[in-house]
Amino acid sequence: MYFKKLACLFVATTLLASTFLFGTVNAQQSSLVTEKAGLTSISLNQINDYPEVKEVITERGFDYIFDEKNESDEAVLEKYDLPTTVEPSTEVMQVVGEENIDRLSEKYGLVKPKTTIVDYKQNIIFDPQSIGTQSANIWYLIYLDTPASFTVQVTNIGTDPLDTIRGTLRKFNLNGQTFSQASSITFTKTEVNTGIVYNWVQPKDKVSDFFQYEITVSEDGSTLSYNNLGETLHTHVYQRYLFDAGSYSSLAALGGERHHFVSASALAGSGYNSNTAPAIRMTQKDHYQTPSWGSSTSAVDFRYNETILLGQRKFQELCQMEVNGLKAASDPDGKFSNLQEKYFDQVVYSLYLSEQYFGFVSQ
Amino acid sequence: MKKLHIEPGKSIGVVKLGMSKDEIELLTKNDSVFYMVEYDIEDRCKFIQIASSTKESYVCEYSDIDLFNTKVSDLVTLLDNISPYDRNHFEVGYTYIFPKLGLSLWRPQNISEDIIHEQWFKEMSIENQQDELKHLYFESVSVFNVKT
Repeated sequence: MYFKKLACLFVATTLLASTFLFGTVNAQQSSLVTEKAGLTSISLNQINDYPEVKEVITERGFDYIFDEKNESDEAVLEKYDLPTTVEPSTEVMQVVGEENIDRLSEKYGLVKPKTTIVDYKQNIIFDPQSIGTQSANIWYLIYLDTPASFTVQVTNIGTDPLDTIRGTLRKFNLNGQTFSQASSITFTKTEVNTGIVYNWVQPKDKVSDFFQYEITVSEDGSTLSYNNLGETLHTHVYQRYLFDAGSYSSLAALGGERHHFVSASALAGSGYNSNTAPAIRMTQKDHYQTPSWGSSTSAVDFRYNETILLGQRKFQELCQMEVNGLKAASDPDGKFSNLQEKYFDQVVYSLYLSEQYFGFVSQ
Repeated sequence: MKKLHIEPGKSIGVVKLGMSKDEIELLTKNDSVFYMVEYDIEDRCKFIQIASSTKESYVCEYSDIDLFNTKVSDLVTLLDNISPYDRNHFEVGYTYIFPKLGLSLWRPQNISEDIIHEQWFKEMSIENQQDELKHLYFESVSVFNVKT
């Protein structure tokens, strides 16, 4: 069944790629390692320096790519017919339901994260000798990650297929604060035309992971190589998260940590079972930023206030304090405004579970 | 493995209480240790904290005691012999403050080795059991100024 889906995905993407290929993402050239005579590689941002190439792309109906630079990653993946919604958080949000999501969001002043704009790496390759002739050769490469895979795609804007594309893909999993290589794969494809060059099925299985690629393109004896080895975590395009929420003892850490929505010490000190309390799977670095972590004065005060509010059975005030604490916590990865936005789905679900756990309805 | 020295009431590694924010940022710019620092209103360091993840690269020592690789029950006894912890703190079991040393230690869960016999523990996945057992050790160590 899964392979059948994969085959369908391949066929659908192949058919759609030539129609939707350009104009879906910000253009950004990945690291160009070598450039030999015969082929030139540029990014979309450099296209105005190559008016003759731009003219060919325009003539062949791909000119809309020059104007479209700010589409969400979901929109991009949908255009390529790649899956966007296999997150566990999507499932839990379905359990909570739209009505409760809206109610809790309004009640606690939750802010949804801004739509993600991913600068997927792209390369335009052309044969300068062929530009201006009837057989102008231009190819377009794009690298995409989805919740289920990492995909290398190519569009042949010209006439000749690329002789060969070779690649090595690596997946790194986060454990604590360290990313370690979890798996890798190499591939070779010859006579490459429009479509998926390689789709590496890699579902998320850790709280966070990221992909590295090294791609070598060969055409008529010339070779170009690309990689994203120089990216830092803050600039990582291909980093994925697998956040989740649930009762503490049933929630797997998956290389991250389980953050009690209300701290375990406050719960236990007030007679509650902290093992069944709502918790969020988050990265270790994020956990350190939460308001109740550690023994700083502010963290100890925070847990003391939790204890007081629990003792007074002021559950709504308690939940509001938790939300405000996450709003005040910065995202160490620098990708979200704060942890409340980063963990929006999980915060909603934790609030939903908190109502059940404490037996109250937010008013 | 490299050693990271913890001096209660004074310093952790290169970061000292009383240092300015600028000094600390300069000193720790390329440091692999993740220091969590609080400042007073004059931007002078008044609190330094490190997490147990530091033990992956350093032995975090005070007076030849490995603070992150010694079980809470043993460590508290050792430290209490040096200077008593605050027995009136509302979070004893989780938080141990040694006011005369200028040292505090914290863990998010108060557990003992007996939990392995408890039903809720047995029902958890192996990964979660291992995750839980890390709470036999402290998760953070902090130093602060001793009140005179």
